[in-house]
Amino acid sequence: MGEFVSHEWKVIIAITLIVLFVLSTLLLFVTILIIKFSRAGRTIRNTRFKNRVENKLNELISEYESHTPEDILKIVNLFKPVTKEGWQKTIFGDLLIHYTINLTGDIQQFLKEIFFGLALDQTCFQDLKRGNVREKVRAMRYLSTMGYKPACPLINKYVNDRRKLLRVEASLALIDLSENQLQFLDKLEYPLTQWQQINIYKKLSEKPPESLPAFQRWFDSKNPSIQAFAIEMTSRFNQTSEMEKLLPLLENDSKKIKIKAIQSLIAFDSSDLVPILRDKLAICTEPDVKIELLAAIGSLSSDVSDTDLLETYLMSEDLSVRIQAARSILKMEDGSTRLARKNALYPLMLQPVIDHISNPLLR
Amino acid sequence: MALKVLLCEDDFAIQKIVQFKLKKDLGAEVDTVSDGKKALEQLVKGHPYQLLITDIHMPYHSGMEIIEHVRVELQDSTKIIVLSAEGLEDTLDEAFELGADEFITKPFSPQELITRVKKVLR
Repeated sequence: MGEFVSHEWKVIIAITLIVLFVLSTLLLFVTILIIKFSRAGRTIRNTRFKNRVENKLNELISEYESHTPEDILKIVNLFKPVTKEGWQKTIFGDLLIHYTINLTGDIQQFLKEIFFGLALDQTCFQDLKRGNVREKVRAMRYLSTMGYKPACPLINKYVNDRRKLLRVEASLALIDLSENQLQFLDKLEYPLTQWQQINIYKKLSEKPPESLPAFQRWFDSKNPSIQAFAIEMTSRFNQTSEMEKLLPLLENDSKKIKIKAIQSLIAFDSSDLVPILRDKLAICTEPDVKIELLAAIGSLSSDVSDTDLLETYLMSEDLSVRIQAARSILKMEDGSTRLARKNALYPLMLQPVIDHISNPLLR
Repeated sequence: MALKVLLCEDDFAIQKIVQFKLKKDLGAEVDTVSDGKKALEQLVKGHPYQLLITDIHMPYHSGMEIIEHVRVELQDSTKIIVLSAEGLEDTLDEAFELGADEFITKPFSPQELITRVKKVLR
């Protein structure tokens, strides 16, 4: 009898567990369905809304000739009822930004007036203060595209934000908005990431060269990434008048800065620099820096006597130094003959070097 | 007869603007494609287009490849306008060397586009 009762309990527990399992599976399934349907519904709603406002904007842009402030007010009033909700503002704002970036002249101005007429700048301000990271990034993009300078002090606060994305976005927005485009570099405490550098360079390339600051201003920055960036930008934007200011950096404690400075000097393509580089090479003890100096001499010198100097480095103990010396010799007049002659004398030392530089995959 | 235009542009918003403007100002019939592969499928021998407007950076085949296909493979003199954000001198030179008739850089003005279209079709 006792065994039977215990068996019955086991069955009840098993059935209860099965029922619970089936119910929870069903509940999960229904929840997934509800989420899927609501997402699909939102997508359909957003697409419909986007198409509607996009068509209206297209119509306005295509028919654009000129608009009086009264016309703008009418257009703003036309869009006001459909840009009340947050999601509507986002879709419409994205469209306005996209068109503002791609279109020019009076139409661009017209789109900006719609943006400000709908007080989307105020929404951006709110997002910048209280939004999540995505909203903050979007707000900075909107405000910089629309050229809204009063946003600078608020955006400035994100230059040293712990979140990388906000730092990058803030720096890019300030290049567009601030009078002193790169002033944020003075107070940037974090390293300037490669991604940030590429984006800043891209932005600066779109500006007239005469509007760019002299990058030597940041040669003595306490932030090594800013120092390196400034050195590179000096040559990228061909600021020849700053070339001499690169020379003291060849004495810098940091190997990375020394290398950057040499690479920058190569880009100026000035043979006047060769005697200085020669002197530095004579006292240089760091192989990586030596390699850059050899590359610089090879690129900038047309003096045959420098081939003799380069040849001495073919006997270096460091294979990388030998390889660079050979590469630089090949750039000199009669370089290939000189290298072949030397190889005939010291094949054990030089054949691996020649094999290396002849390999197209290793160039 | 209406002007027939093939517009190769992967940005749908720009597609719509150009299509709308060409239709409104010139009464053009505009077919749109959003990648190079579809553009080449449309550009077969005896295609009906009098004008081709193409972006440079597109999926599958670039605008440059499309121009080359039209001029070299098809030996076709259909007018070609490049509409691209890449306005570097080298890119412009390459486009003209391959046989483009006009180059418009983004950001652009829709009115300017119409002026250039009229100019190349003159």
